[in-house]
Amino acid sequence: MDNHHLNELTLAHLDGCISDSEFAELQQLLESDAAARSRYVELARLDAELRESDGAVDEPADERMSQVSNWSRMPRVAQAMVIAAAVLVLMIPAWMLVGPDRPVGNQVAATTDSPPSKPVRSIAVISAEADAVWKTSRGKRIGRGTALEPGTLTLLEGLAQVDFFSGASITLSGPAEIELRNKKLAVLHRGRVRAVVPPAARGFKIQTADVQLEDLGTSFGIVARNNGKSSVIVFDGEVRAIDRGGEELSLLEGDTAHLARGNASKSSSDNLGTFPDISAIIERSAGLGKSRYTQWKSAAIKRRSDSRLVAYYDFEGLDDTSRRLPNRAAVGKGSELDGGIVGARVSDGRWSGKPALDFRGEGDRVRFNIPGKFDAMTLYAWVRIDALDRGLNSLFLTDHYDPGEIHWQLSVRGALHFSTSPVGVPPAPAGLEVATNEQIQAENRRFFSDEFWNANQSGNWFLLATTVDCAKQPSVIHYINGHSVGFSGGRNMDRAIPELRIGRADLGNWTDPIWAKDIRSLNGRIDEFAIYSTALTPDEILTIYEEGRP
Amino acid sequence: MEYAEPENAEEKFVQMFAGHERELRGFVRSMGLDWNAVDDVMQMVSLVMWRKWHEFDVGSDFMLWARVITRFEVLKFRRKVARDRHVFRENVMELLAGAAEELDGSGRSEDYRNALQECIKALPERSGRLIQAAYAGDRTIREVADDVGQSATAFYKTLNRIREKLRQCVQQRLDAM
Repeated sequence: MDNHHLNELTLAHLDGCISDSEFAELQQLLESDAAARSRYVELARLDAELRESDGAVDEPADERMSQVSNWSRMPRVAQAMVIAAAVLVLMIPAWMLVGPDRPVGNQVAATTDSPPSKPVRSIAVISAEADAVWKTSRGKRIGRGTALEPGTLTLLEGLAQVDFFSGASITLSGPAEIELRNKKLAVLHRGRVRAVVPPAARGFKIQTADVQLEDLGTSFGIVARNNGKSSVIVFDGEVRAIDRGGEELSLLEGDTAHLARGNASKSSSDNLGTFPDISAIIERSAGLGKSRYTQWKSAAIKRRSDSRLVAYYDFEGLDDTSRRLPNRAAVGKGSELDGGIVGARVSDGRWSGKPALDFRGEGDRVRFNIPGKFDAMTLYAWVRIDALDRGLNSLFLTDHYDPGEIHWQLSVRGALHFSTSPVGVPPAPAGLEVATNEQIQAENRRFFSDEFWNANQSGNWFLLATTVDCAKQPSVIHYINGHSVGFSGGRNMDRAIPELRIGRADLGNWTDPIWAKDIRSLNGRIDEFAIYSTALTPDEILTIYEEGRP
Repeated sequence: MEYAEPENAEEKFVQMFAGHERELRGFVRSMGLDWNAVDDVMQMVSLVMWRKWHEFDVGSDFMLWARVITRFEVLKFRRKVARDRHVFRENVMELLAGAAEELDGSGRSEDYRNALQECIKALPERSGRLIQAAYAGDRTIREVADDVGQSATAFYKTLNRIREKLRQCVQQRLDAM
């Protein structure tokens, strides 16, 4: 066997750039030749080690910790506030164990034998979820199986079960915010939690703004409201509530109690709402998600034959090796309008199993070349916005900005923005490389929608749509989730819109910006995108939303 | 049989898992999965191992136990993605797992890491920088090569040459131990 060739095949496979025929050849070799297998494994091992150490020598130990958890980096400010609040109201000495003087998160101490090769901080793991939407920072993915270090977890919606390494297990109902202090203590900031504590995890505590609940081997539910008041119900066993005066209140099965202003008092049959059982909901939601996906699919198949489509991308059937985003519009130019995927990775869309493209890197984009001139247009896309990192963040931008070309993007303030100009970028005056911004803006038509997005909505899917009709006034209407919204700003909004053009353009990025170094890459996902040569009616936009909402 | 004390079972688990996670990731990688798949499998592996932790005999070889679980999870995962392109057949994965066990079983992972560190240090400066560019951050090598633009092919050739050099260097050092 030619080792050089074997190396090439192996490394191409490891790097994800092997061709079908090379793959077949490699697989054949590995099956028949033990030496080839050794070589493959040696190179895979090398590749793994290089990757884990970022290809450098003497990595700092701190950096290694990121392997333990995908989750660690939450806003420290929020954490400090919770601790400060707790210290103000708590008088029990034992609680001071997790006071502000100690670094949060060293509760998982190394045991005496076989010291760990790196610091260990995980205290819990997400063991189940149902329609869970997490708030995360830095684009980290949180989900089933994610190991959790001490810190704050924010569940925006849905349900999730978190197993503490002490053996206690909690079910969170979103919206909920809970701080995991250590494997035996959590602080519920707001939201609804059901806790199940087996005998081995006895002593597991949940603390709210005013009161601490110590579980004596049991299960209970607790609701923390935004006004600082909370209520508790004991399903089984015994719970001890300790208020800020140090008073203890013992609660037995069936008891409910009010926790307010530092006092715990028993209350009779308080209406606390339900504490859902996650396993039942997982079953139900899996079915529901599947049926919504199926419903959308059949609607999408019908949509393909709409003769008013210029191009339609349903993002179906993509896999990791896909480099082409097929145009599925039944009429028109067909595969000539296929997009070319650059960098963006295939990941989950609105429903589990629905492909989407994940735009993250500065280079990620889908390239298009869409000819034609239009006096009316509709653009819509299902978009998951993870963050608005740039002043303007691309949805769909034509290269540069020539006369009549369209720019569809998101402003840093969370508004949908459409613009076009009859002159595009005017010629630069003598001595300058680019026309001044004043010159450009003089003829620019800009339409900013009401601001609909803020960081709390990170990770949620939106239907973003904009219709343009040169003959109407206003000529541009923005829609968020099926409903038209107003304008928060703009320029030359009542002046005539030129005939619209696309040509070469990017989804999720901007090639050939007007100003060098102006980066507008999108941070988020898209799993459906359509261009029509007409302005769809409000009812039609609402239908698209209804048929496709997650 | 000596079982983990319930008092510190979780600490012990986290410690053992963290201490061997890197090696286990390498093991999964050796069976031919891409990094996204490795991440997915490792999440499941950590969950399954935690669930079965009470079955682990503390005095015994952690990696031996962990590889059995990991191998099973990889094959389970493989069935899910069977239709994906460029995923090896099950029997080929089994063969690779065997080869990986042979390789890993012969030395401690600490030795491997040390050997690699020495070999990286011994590289010419330019090669060291290139390796780092290729492996720092979350980008795939193809993405990095794409960034380099027209010289992507050349970049790739050089990179492969350096990797082969590192492989030889590490194996020689390990053999000498």
